[in-house]
Amino acid sequence: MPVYDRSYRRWDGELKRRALRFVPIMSMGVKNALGMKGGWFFTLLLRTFMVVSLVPTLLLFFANYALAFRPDFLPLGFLGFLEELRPYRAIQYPLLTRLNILFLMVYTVLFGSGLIAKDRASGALPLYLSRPLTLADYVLGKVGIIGWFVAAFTLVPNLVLWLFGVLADDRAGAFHEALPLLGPIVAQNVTAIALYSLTILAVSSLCRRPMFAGLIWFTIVVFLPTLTAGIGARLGSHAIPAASPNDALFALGYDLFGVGELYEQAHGPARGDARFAIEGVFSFVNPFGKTPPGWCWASMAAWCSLSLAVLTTTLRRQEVVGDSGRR
Amino acid sequence: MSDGAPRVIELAGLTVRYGKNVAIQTLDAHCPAGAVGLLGPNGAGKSSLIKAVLGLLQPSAGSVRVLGHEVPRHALEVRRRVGYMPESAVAFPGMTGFENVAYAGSIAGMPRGEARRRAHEVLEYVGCGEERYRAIEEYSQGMRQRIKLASALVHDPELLLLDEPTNGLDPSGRSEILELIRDLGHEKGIHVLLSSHVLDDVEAVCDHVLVLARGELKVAGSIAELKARYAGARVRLTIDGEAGGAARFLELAQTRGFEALLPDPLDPRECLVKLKDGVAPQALLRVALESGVRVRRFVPRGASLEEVFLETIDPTASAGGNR
Amino acid sequence: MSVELSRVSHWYGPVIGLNDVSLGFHPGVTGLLGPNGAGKSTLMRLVTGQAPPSQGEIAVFGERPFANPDALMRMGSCPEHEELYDHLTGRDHVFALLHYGGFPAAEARRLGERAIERVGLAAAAHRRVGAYSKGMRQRLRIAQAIAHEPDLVVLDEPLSGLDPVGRREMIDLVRELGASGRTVIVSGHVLHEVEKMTRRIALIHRGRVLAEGTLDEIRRALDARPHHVRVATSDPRALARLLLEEPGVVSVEFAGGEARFEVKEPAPFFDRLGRIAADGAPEVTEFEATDDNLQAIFDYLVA
Repeated sequence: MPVYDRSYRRWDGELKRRALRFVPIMSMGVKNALGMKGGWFFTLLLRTFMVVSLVPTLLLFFANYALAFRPDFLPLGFLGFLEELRPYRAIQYPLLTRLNILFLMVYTVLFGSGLIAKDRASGALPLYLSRPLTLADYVLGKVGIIGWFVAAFTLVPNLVLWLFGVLADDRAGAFHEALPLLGPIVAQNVTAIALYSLTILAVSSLCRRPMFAGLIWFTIVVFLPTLTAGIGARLGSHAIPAASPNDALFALGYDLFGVGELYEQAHGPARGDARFAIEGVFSFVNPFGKTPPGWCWASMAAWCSLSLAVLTTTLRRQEVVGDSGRR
Repeated sequence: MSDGAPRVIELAGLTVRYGKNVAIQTLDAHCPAGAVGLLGPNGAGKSSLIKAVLGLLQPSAGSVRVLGHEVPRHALEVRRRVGYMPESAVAFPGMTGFENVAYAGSIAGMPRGEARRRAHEVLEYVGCGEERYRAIEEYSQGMRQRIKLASALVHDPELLLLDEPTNGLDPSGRSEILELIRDLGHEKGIHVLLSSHVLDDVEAVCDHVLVLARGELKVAGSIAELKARYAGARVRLTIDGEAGGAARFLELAQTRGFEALLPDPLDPRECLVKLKDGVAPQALLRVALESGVRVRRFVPRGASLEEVFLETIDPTASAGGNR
Repeated sequence: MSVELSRVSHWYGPVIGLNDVSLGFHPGVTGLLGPNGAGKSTLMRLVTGQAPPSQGEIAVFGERPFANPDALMRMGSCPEHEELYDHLTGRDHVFALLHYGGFPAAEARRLGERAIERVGLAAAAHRRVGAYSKGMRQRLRIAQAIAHEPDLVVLDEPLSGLDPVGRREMIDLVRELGASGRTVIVSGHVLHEVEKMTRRIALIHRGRVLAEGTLDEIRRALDARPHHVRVATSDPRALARLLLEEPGVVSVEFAGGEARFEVKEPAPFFDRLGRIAADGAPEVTEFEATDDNLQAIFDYLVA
């Protein structure tokens, strides 16, 4: 037709069915998070932080790489100790998670505290809810967003380290030796992802200001260990520290990777400097050995269920009552 | 309302309760095809009705059918075909206007490329130019309303639910949005349910109305029919010149047996005269000629929508009205 | 004149809010109109003494309003977006602000009660403001504005959030305030409703005054522009043939069952039309000038 009709046109396309409805929420969320702006100082701080947060991962990679291919990179004494550690290399996985936890918490607060809070503040929830989406899709999408970032500091470096370890070790049967490690790696890190995503989302759904949500979550996660450790020491119970999410996570790692046995095996024959070095490395993970794993699993389950409950209740309430009516 | 016409929304015995608070009480109503206005005082149950139509709440009793689908059981089906423009200031945070509309399309289930293409098309239609690339937090009220309308249209719904679409808009903005809605409702064949307190908007856009009060249906019908039913014949006249002329005219009219309703206190030259049965309105023009005044406006009409509304909500409190 | 602005200009950084505005407000209701961003809120802020004008003079009852408690006592304002204290009850809210404003407690209570009655909040005054609907909050804001019986009342969109019953009540309230001799400045976007409150308007656009006065005066000043008259009739062309004999008729358009005339001299035209309609040949069912309402004048001046 020669003249273009600028008025409203109908659309005859097909709307996608159920399956992947949460994907747009996830991809838009990750895009927004990565494009976060806040002035030059904030950006500088963020970039520096991002670089620094890669240090533990890179260090471990370097150590593995050096051990495997370039032993001459390492100073002599240090080398000796690492060689001692090689049979017990399973330790590096819970160690890496332990080392990354601080960075992980900051990233969770940074990218996760606004996920639902900002939607509530800007009134986006009625827009979501009037679309052909269920609340489950919405939550799944949001979990996906923060899940990406958490995975980037837990599951991904662990898996890549594992892969590297398998590829770099040219001994026969190395693969079969490394395979059983995969289970614990996935178990501990997926738990971490679920725990962190669900808890930050739950807190975010309760607030309209991201900073508020972030502060609350950070306070709980950082101060709870002190509280539970104190109470546990008072009551002489080792189970109480399991209430703190981080402590429970590390204790799970201790149990899953059999850190206790590894320590015995490594510490026993070690002599001199190597002994101190091994003590040093294991000191990050050993203290969590006293908490019984059963309690840890229970605690994880409780935190995740609580978060899900909070999420569902708050969001359902938003559905019906809504934040509107003001202004 | 004519039976046999397709029913866009059907409510049968609908009851909505929030705890002990009853928002809607056994409501039986239906919206015919076309543009329907939803009116009612605050607390009448309009927002609960809209939430029920979107499938956002489980009715305590009764049923809701929208476009042939039962809700909330098939809520997702319904929401594929319904576009909702909320009253409050809503937007997806941290995105430009265009991204807002495209995102709205993609979470409705449109493939990404289509959502973007269609977003541009719809933004063009609602009159959003280069501003679409600015962050939505910077938008004026007029732009926000347009983006909301565009987000509601992007997935090409069959039914549009509009809640106070002219909120906060200046007179030009109001006429533009109303023009768009009129176009969508009448020319493009999209069903419209318009909830508003501004009766002028509803009169301008809709053909039918549903009036709710305290969770019950007070009145439902076509606007033309209701106006005729509620006020009977009256004529609005504006007299040219000074006020004395109008007074003369009214006096003469009264001696001829016409009843003059309350004049407009702001301008006594605006007259509202009730007709006698069987008398043609043009008789009043003869009266005007006799009293030597010039008439600038001669409009026989039924009541204004406002009069219908006030009459149905509280029949005891009806005054003559002045428009 | 209660409020007088003389050559007032006001800017925010590089953005100009009002540009050399000279305007006067008399007792009674004046509608303040204009597109969004035209300068209405700026004008209201300056008149209620929230900022001194960058240039020019404002006199409210003869005094400068800025930082002038005496002048401020004589005025009440209801801005469009005003936060309320959600935790107070309606009654306490009105009372508190009156009391802090300097009224002794008993007086504040009495005035507060009266204001609450007047805006129709008596039934809900004991409930927390946080539980109020949008319309109720609006009524509370208006109660605040009129409680201390000010001589000048400035209302920015007083009908927003109100349902049709509330709108009618508020329109009546505004008219009452004007009729009682107060100076009321009202801004609104639904022109049909502003027309019900007053016939006197001031139209602002891009920081300048486009028009000031009663609708009649403004329309007459625009008389150079032809009037548009719409006539519904059974035989538009026959009617047109008759009316085109009038020299003042500039053009005629046919649409539906109507003939639309453009007329330069309305008086003889309406005389003739009235006679034709009274005679009934051809039958005329309705006629009106389509552009002597506020919407038409606004569109013409602002477009």
